[in-house]
Order: sequence, then structure tokens, then C-alpha cells
Amino acid sequence: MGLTFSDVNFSVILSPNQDRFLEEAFLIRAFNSNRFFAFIERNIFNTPYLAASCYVEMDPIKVELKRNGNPIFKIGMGQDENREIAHLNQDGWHGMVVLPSPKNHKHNPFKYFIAKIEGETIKCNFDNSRDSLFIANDSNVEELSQLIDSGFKGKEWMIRRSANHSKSKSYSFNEVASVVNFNGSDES
Amino acid sequence: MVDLSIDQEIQYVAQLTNVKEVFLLGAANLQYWQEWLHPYVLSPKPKDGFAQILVICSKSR
Repeated sequence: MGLTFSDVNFSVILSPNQDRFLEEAFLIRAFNSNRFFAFIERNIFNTPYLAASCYVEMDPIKVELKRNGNPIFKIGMGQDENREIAHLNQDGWHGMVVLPSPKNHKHNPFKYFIAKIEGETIKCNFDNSRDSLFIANDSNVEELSQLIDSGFKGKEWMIRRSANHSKSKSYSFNEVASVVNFNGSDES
Repeated sequence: MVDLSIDQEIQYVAQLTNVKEVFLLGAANLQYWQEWLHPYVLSPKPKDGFAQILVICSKSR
């Protein structure tokens, strides 16, 4: 498409409550640098997107999220030649992303989408002495305040310099149940 | 384990290649997120006594 955009999103990894094949995560908040994409995500796909300035740099690893010109989230990997790194040929995440109910009506039915991320991966531990994590306590983004309140700390980096991303449309529970074999049995 | 056969059933509406991405997997207070998710009848998957929070940062072209 020739358009460069960046995206930063925050999810809680869920315990599957049935014997599902896929991982599950609850998408609590997401940001996209493209205002139009954020609008489409929010209004067409029911995803909790906001427009924000998102900077994702790979050399060195550095991410900065700004709203109204103010940094609200920053992470960075410190340079360390002695860092223990694991190289994985192909790794990623394939799972069901649970979306918050529209307008925070917590008892409304959920929407879901299926996400698949894969590519050559580098993994290493988050090093508190070298790596950095900043969350503004005055961001006016409730979900970032919740990360602070819950004592969020970095544990592990996973870096992909050339990943493939696939994202499904948003499904209702019944629709996704017909696609994903929840019980693991072969019904075909 | 992922059942790749479901890929044939899924309608992927967006597919991107050559995405530069940074995942930061973090830990947070388990009870906090248990209570936060409770109204949704969901629960965080604990690891070493903590909830797992995943931050995905990507740059696409």
C-alpha cells in the first residue's frame, strides 16, 4: 500500500475457559499512528483504538507513544553485547483476541478476531538495569493508569524484523465458535 | 497447540508482510487483573504468580 504506519497495543493473556486450540488475549487498548486506520478499527471492527503518535525503531529497539505531544508510554532496549539471546527460526502468536464490549457495557456479548503473527524471532529477558519502561501517570488513558496500578514490569522481549501479520474480521461468539473447534474434536 | 487447519475457515481481512515488531511481555499483579476481568467472566493466565500483559509494537509499510 506504500503507507507507513505504526501500532502499539496492550493485551492481557487469558486462561482459556474451554479446551480451545488457540491462545486468547483481551485487547485492553490500542493505538495507531494513522488517524484513519484508528477510526476504521474503532468503528468497523469494534476494536479499542485511539489515534496517537507511535514511534517504533529497531536499531536500537525503542518505542514511544505520544498523545497531544506528550509521551505517555516508552520502552527501550539497552545496548549490551553480552546479553543472552535466543534465536528462533519461526515463532509468533496465533490466537483469539477478545475485544472489550462497546461503550464499556461489560455484559454485552464480546466480539473476537483471530490474529496470526509469525516470523524469525529473537528473544531475550528484559534487563531492569539496562532496559527502560516509562508509563506516564497523567496520560488520561485509563488502561495505561491500570498498568501502573497493577505494577506492570517488563519480563521478556521478542523481536521480529520481518514478520507476517494476519487479522480476521471481527466475529461474534457464535460465529467464532463455528470457525474454531473449541472442543478439539474432529467434526469434519 | 494451534490447529492450523482452522486457517482455511478464517476470513483474514488484513495481511501484512515485512512488519517490524517488538513484543514486550510483562508481568502485573494477578489479583488486580482477576478482578478487572471478573465482570467479563474471564481470567488472566497466570505465570509465576503474575498476570501476563503483552505489549505489541509494530511498524508496517
